[in-house]
Amino acid sequence: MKILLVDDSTTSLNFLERSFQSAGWETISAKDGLEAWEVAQKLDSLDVVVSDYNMPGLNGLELAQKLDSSNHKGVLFFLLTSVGIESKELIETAREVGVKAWIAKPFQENHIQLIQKALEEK
Amino acid sequence: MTIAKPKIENPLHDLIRATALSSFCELTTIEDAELGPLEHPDRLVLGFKTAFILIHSDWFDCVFKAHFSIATAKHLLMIVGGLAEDEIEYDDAADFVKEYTNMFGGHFLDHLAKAKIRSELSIPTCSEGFDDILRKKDTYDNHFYDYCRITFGSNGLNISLETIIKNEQVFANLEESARNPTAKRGVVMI
Repeated sequence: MKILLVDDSTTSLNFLERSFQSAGWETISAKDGLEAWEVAQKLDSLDVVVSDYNMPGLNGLELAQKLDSSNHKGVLFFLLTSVGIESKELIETAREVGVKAWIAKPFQENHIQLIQKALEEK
Repeated sequence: MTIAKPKIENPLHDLIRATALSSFCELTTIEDAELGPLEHPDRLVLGFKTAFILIHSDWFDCVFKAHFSIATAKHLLMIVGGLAEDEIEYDDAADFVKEYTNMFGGHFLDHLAKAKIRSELSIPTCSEGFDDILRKKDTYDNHFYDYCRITFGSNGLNISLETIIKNEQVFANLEESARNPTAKRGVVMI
């Protein structure tokens, strides 16, 4: 399974890489939304994206919007955020561009099981 | 975790202090961290590195700063990442505290959203060297300053913050929201 990991925090990105690689995933990393978009355009297939929300350039939601209008439309997209969900408008926008879930930071290894389950149910 | 009773003049700072400590404990998994007063907040350098994040709303602005040494940041990353000291790069150590300010900002925004205070968060950033320029005090009536220290073992992070109050309604809204449940966290399926 191929996953694109996106976070402008190197420590968070390193943790994500280690966690998913230990679980047997093939990981591709990008240090912000713009780099992720450039990387994604060169990929033929992608199973899952886990992306930070608050990033310079393209934020996580904007990245999801771009992927949704590309050949990666339908990819399972998980948004990592330190902000809770309060805005119905934001939830609706996220849903429209294929975001599957908001995951509260810090990312924990048990979140991988949730992502695997979502992939199996797809 | 414990919070020493703050001697502050701005009730918004109570919330910031509590959020600073809870975010720290959640990110680092250090449960016995304590928040107390910062001795000598007027000294020239509170930490060789300063990670900071800006929070903006129509009702107030806030700058939240974590002052630290690379040794402290490495110590934290050793605890969280299970890494040996020589495995931790200088930039990664600093990045970790920057991520802490980001997490603080997100949690603080949750509280503000609950209080119906629409606000925005900057991208966190980090400076290096003498940090007194980041702590210049203005004498306007609506500018407030606060200093505290998060202590864990023999280590600690120095915290400084300033708020500019533009609408005092912010205090009433925070008081009202304290009676309501907190924002959804964890994993929210859409």
